[in-house]
Order: sequence, then structure tokens, then C-alpha cells
Amino acid sequence: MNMKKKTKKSISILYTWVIFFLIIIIINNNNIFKKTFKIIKKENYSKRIENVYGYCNGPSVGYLKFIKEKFKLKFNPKIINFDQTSPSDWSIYDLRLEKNNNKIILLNYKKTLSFIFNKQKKNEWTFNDQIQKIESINKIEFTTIYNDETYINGTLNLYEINSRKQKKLVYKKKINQIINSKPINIDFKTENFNSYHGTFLIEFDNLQNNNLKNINNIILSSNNYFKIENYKIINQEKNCYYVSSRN
Amino acid sequence: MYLQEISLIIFQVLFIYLFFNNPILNEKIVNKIIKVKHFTNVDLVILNVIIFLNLLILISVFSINSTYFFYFYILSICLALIKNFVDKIKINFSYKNIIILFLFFILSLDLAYEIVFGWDVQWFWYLKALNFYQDEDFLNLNKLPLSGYPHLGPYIWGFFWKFPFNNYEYLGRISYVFFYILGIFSFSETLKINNQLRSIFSLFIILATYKYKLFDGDSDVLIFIFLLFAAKFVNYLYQPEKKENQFPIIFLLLGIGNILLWTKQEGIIFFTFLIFSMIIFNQLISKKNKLILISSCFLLIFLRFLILHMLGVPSIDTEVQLQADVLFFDFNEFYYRITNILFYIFVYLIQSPIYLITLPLIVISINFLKNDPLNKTLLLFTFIVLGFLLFAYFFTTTEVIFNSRNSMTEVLNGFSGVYLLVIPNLLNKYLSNNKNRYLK
Repeated sequence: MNMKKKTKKSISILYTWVIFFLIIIIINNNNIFKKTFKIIKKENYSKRIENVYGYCNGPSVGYLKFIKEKFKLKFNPKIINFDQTSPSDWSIYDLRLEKNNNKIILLNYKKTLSFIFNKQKKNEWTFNDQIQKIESINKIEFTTIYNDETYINGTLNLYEINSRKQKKLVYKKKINQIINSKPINIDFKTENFNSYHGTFLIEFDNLQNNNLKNINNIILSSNNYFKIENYKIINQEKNCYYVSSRN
Repeated sequence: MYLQEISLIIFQVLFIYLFFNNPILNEKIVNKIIKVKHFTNVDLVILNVIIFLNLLILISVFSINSTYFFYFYILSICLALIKNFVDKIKINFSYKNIIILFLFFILSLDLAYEIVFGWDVQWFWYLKALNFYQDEDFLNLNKLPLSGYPHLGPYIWGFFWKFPFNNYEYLGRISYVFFYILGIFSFSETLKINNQLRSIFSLFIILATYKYKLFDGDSDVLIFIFLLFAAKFVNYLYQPEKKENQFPIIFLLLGIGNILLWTKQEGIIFFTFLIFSMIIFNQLISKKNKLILISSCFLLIFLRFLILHMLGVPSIDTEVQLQADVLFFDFNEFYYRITNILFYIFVYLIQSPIYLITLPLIVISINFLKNDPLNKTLLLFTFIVLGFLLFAYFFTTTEVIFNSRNSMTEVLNGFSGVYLLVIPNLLNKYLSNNKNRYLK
């Protein structure tokens, strides 16, 4: 009887140890000590928000919070982020306030937006991110290996590839020149150089020579549809702006 | 030093714990009013969670001021505590409670540190929570993105964000962590083993399933939690000794069904599948109770549609609707969609620790528990859910691969808790068989 009681007690102690170790594993797996230390010593809530969402990069929540605080906004400004990131309006949105579309916060604004197509195969360059709100393609640039002078005589084709790998031609351009000395200006108006799920692909055909191996990346550039010069700049930090319409 | 933040987390954890752990309905009252016996203390806490969340649905839909409700509820808890004191009911604080409280605290710290929101949370869930945090009307949801999405999850978030400390948003999401731990520890009570082993089982489940992403503000984790609550009570309905509790348990299940209905659309779908599978194979439930259960499920769905229709709020998500062009497809398209859906189901199943453990156990149980009604229920549930997934992903307006990659993990995790039922089913049968052998 006593033996049975003893065994029961030692099994109970064993279980308690197992419970203890499992809790330690959960704490260790999630770095709880480190995180607690950081919350207490180093990173307050605003700092952590800035670390996660960036100050003026990505969702740029740090800049939004800064503008809201500095200008004591009593309205919800319009927010446009030119990076392909998750929406960040939520961070300063106040449901009790009115919207004001004349005051605009521009995040990651660039006058020209560049899309770098990376080389996949000898005759295949792709861009795999989302592209949105593009109204034109204005320039094509080539980067070559060792910056060697490269002459191309052929047709550049830009395709949109959907998730079923079906190709749809967006733009084609006959090229017969040295490609790496200066950008090729094209100014092609299109709504088709936009995609949420798809990929874009550049291929050449009708080639008269074989210089494709020299091409490293191909960069398509578009002028930003938002003309900042038409607005009054109230605040600027790096590529983030707080602007107001002039009228 | 930012001690203020850490102390807020500690107080919020203690507040939520005490808020739900002091049952308004104590054992005596429960026995008296709804004549339930053999309910554990955790069951009573869950009962209070179910009552509280159903009240939240009412006050949110009818735009009753949440401050009044909060003080009313706190007053009720105080009165219940006095009543418990008068009735000489001991405050239950076992070592299991200490584990729950401690885990609640450490996982809350993780949540407080990480703070990242998922894409959908930044798009619409946060704004819904903000709507309630800022005491805006239920109808104000119409002005926000995806107004047709159910609102209970963000309402809970907004409620505990505001009460009692009215500070960081994540204080609201901490309540999700409490429900998660409570659901797992509650489910462990289905195992007929000692409390220490149940705690070990719970810790293993937490170890296998916990990741911060579950608590990034999306309501998907609530589907997992509430279906886990439901799975426990479904398990009760298969036990002959709990037959006298049948009606109150059915009532509780309907309470959970209502919560799921207002939490996320797929929640009530999986709940209905589970109930349907159960009433087919569970011979312990009387025909009358089966009828009550299934008709009440449809009544709850109808009531939600009716209330939302009367308030002029869309009852389904209006931005993602079935469009006619998804119905036109050739054989290649059929093959493309089906193979991709099955592929992603397989991939995400093997990525989930719960399925990795429970699906082989289900296969084993087909052989070992041939005529077991709970096992048959799980098998039927599996077939219905598989059919539903194929249908839902096949006829979607969004591209199949994109849709599967973006939502299938959450959908599969949502009802994974139901599959945990196979563990108590196998283990309890094994233990009882061995005990009989030993007794012989």
C-alpha cells in the first residue's frame, strides 16, 4: 500500500516536471524573456510600431503617426502609398472625424516609378510583384554585364502572365540600337501594365544578332500619375510628403 | 523603463481572467435553473463566456452603449461573488488555474511585443474594432470596408481594448488568447485521465498550435476556439452518463452556434456540418432534441438574416460574390481547378500539426472503432467538409491558386479542433478496455 502511494507520488512529481519543462519550451520557443526585457527596457509601443511598419518605408506608419501628432489633425487625410504594401490608413484613422481629400499624405513617393525585371533565362526577364495605378510606360533601360556596349536588333515584347501561365501581350517595341548607352524613351500610354496577381515577362523575338547574354536586368520606368508640383508641400521627410491642394 | 506597459498587460490579464473565472452562474444556480450535473468548473467558465458573448451580440446589434453594459456586467459579477460567499461556495483555484493564468500571461506578452497585423486586419478588421472602441453605431459599419463580414470578433477586441484600461489596442486582442487557452484546457477534460496528464496534453496542443499570427486580429482563431468549445459539448452528448444533461448541452451548443454565426461565415457552416453529422449517428439524442437542434440552427441563421435585413446591413460580404462566369468552364478548367484545390488541401493539411496527428488516428480508428458513433460522425464530417471545400474553392471568382494560398490555411485550421475529438475517443476506449481486462 505504502509502495503504491510512493509510486503514485513519484509519478505525480514526474508529471509536474514535464509540465514545468513544457512551459519552459513554450517560453523559449517564443523568446518571451527577450521580448519582456525589450518591452520593459528598450522599445515602447510607438517604437515597436515603427520597427514593424517602418517610418518612411513600407507601410510608413511612423510617418503617419508623426504627421497626425505634429499637425494635430482634426480630419482624416487622404493617404496614398506608392509602395506595394498593406494599407496603413488604419494607423491614424479616426471614425469620428471627417475625411479631407484636399490634405494628402504621400508615402514612398517617387516622380518616376521603376520596375526591375530580373533575368531568368537567356531570353526571359520577369517582374513578380504587384503593379498598380500605372498609366504609362515612359522609359526602358538595360543593365549589362561588365557595362559592355551591347547592340540589339530585334523586338522587345512585354507580356502579362496570369497564374495559369497564359501570356497576354501588353507592349512591343522594335529595337535596333546600342542599348546600354542611354535609356530608350517611349511614352506609351497603357492601363494594362497593372496586375494584382500576375507576373510580367519580357522576351525578345526576331533577333538579328545574339547579344542577349550580355543583358543583366531590364528596367521599365513610368512617370508617377501624381504630380506633386501641383500641390503645396507642408512637410517632407525622405520620400514621404504631407501636401495640400493649392485651391 | 516602460513599466507602465508591462503593468497594464499584467492587470489586463488578471482582469480578463477574473472577469470570466468568477461564474455569474455558480454550480448551485446552474443545478437549480438548468438542472445540469457533472459540469466542471471550466465548463461553468465556458458557460459564462457563451452567455457574455451572446449578450455582446445583442448589445452590439442594437447599439446599446457598451459602457452601461460593462458596468452592468461587473455589478452582476460582484453580486454573484456575494451570492457565492453566502452560499459558502469555495473559490476554485487549483494548480490548473495557475498554469492557465501563467500561460495566459506569457502568451499575452508575446502578443504585446509582436503587434503586427495581418493584411485583412489592416484592411478591415481593425476598422471594425475601432468602430466599437470609438462607440460608433452598428450601422456605421456600413461605411467601412467589407461591411457584410460578421462583426463579433472585432467587437470583442474593441470591448476589451476599451475596458477597463482604454489604452493599447492589443489589450483587446489579449481576450482572444484567454479564449484560446480556455478552449484547449476545457477540451482536455474530455480525456479520462488525471488532471496533470490533461495539463500535459493541453500544453502539447498549445506547443503545436500557438503562433503569434493566430492573434494578429483576424477572427479565424475564434472559429478554432469556438468549434473546440462545441467539440467538447458534442463529446458530452455521446456519453450515456451525461444523457440527463442533454437539453442544457444542446442549449449551450446553440449558444456557441450563434456566436460562430456572428464571428465568421464559415464558422456556422462548419458548426452546422458537425451538428448534422452528429444527429445522424448519435442514437443517444432523442428525436425531439435532434429536431430542436437542427431547426434552431436554421432559425438562428434566419434570425441573423432578418435582423441584418431590418437594419439595412448586408448579411454577406458584398464585395466577393459568386459571378456567372465561374459557372462556365471546360474540362481543362475543371481539371485545373480540382487538382489545384486538392493539392493545396494536401499541402496545408500536412503543415498543420493537429491534422498530422489526428488524421492518421482517424485512419487507425476506422479499424479499431468500427461501429463507434462518434467516429462515424467524424468521418461524415470529413466527407461533408471536403465536399464543401471543393465546391467553395471551385466556384470562386478569385483565381483558384491565389485564393487557396491566401485563405486555405485559415479555413483548415478553423475546424481542426473538431478532429481533436478522435484523441479522447480512441484513448478513452483504450483505457476502458484495458481497465475491463484488468478487472477480469
